[in-house]
Amino acid sequence: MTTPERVTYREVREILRTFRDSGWAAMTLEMDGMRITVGKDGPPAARERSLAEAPAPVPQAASATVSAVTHTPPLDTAGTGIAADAGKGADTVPAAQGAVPTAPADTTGCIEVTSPTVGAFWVAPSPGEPPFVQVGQKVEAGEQLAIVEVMKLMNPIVAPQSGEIVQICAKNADLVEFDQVLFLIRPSDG
Amino acid sequence: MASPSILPVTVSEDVALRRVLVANRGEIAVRVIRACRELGIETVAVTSTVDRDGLAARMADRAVCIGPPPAGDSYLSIPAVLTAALGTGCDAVHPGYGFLSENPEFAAACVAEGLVFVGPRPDAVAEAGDKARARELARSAGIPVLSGSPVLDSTEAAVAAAAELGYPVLVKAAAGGGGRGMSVVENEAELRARWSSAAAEAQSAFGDGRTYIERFIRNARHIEVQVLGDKHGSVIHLGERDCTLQRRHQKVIEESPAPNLPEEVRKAIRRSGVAFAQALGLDSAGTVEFIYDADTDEFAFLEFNARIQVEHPVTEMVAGVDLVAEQLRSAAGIPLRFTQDDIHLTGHAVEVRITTEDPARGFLPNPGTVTRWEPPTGEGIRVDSHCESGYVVTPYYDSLLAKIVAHGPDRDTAADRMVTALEDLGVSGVPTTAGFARVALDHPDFRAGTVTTDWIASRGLPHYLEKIS
Repeated sequence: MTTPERVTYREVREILRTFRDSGWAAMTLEMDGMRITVGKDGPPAARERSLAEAPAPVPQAASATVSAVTHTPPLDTAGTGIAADAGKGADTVPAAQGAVPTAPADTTGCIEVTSPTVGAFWVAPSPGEPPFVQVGQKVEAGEQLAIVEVMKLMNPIVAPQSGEIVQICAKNADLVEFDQVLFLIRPSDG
Repeated sequence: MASPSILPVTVSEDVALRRVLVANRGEIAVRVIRACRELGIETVAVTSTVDRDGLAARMADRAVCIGPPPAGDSYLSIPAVLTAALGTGCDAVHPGYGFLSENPEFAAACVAEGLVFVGPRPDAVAEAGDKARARELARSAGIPVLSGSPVLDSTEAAVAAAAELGYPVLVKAAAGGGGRGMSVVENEAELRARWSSAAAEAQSAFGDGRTYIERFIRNARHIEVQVLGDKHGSVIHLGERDCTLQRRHQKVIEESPAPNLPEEVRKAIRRSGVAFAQALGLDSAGTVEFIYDADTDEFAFLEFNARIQVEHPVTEMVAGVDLVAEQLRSAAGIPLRFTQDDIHLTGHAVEVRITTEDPARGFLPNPGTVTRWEPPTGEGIRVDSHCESGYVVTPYYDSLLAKIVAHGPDRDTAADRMVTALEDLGVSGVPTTAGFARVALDHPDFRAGTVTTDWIASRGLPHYLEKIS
């Protein structure tokens, strides 16, 4: 196999897809003056910490995250708003409920806030701004929690009841499905 | 280091299909996923909530739930489908049949978002979808068209046009299709009574109230030509299908080649199919539908379908060509791999659509749970289905459970194999059309190839009801 003189964007995407679909946990690749380090459970250097955070990683290609390689900001306002390239494409993959590594929380008595549509999940009004809400925060009924974007149409996600945010079940920029659980809220009373 | 599963269908740096979103459900979604797999293309299935655990969702590399059961909020939602395609990094969309498959707005939206639409160019989809324009195109290509009126805007204009054509006439919606949006009118009084409601129905069903009238052929057969084109100007045909056996304008049994057809008519119909596809500049798979007058041996262009047809497997069986794979190749910009001379049609194939409809109750669709599903096997038998034991037929979508296809060296062998397959089909929990099809296949009219489009209503169904009583 000859060493390519230069690497195209397409080839980088191909490499990242191949990695994502492989059984490998991490990979570092150097060529053409470029160095790519990727890990499926976070940056390879921080893997142990990631694993500790996620005691039950989902053992499927769909749970891959490519974290060290992305140099683009998570919110892409220039494009479609939804990641379509390999790095972010892989990043949006863990759409299944519960695949997001979060510290186990006591969710008894919580109500689910589900997505009204398939779309891109945004935790903040726009890139760079602080998120609408954070775990542990008290929210009022009707307060905005997030945005689910469908083809540039921004659907506000609001709290159906007042209470405390116990868990945020999707990651920023994730592709979320119709009916997918986005938040768990413990109602204030009753 | 690349595993076979991600080898793209590539023709150049610019055109490659690596991951296809299958914008459909049921058996055709399964069919498309299978074709993609064989080509090494990844698939993303979109589902409504009721199809989440279905076969297509499980077979695809990934499934995305895009909405609630009503198709308007899921399978027909252009934003939802496009969001799923872009959000999962797809580079192409296969629309299957029905739903968004012949929606020019959807085809154009895919292209605008940088997605390859696996079907004809959006302008060809639009051109073909307008029946009046398609008919003009056929006429200009020298293809016989049914004597009919242009789009008419008043009852008086319709009455005058019908008087010129001679009754009975067919009132048709310009935007109709698949047997929807047409009705037979026997005389002027009926036409006057029917005209304004036909326009209103067309408006509400298709968002387009334009209607016209056409000569109605009493002893009609439905014959259609499978055509295939590429982005390099080549168009071929893969023979014709006979889809004469219909109830309420919905096909029940299809076969290829058409039986009992004079050879010069067969050749002329095939030539006309190719001529239409060339006039349209077809760059994908499509079907040119003709009506054939069994009394006069005349044929005329009916409409063009810019998509894969439900009944495409009968063509695949006799031609030995995977039409869905060819659609994907054409969409990727790959030239056709065969010329007309390379196509050899072998033997005869018959397809029966197994739907959950009760023939004894006027083919009334019947939702319910399929408690037992044992598809037939055997020499020359192919079953395209998404059904399995425990499958729930919901009221939201069409009632197609499976397509059984039988191939044989000749028509009688194919029909005999189909009869055996229908007897072997094990299905419980819902009524199906299998028993009716079995009786129809053994009827002397079918065996002689003399059935016409009204045969089920006039003879087939009464014969069946008599047999089961």
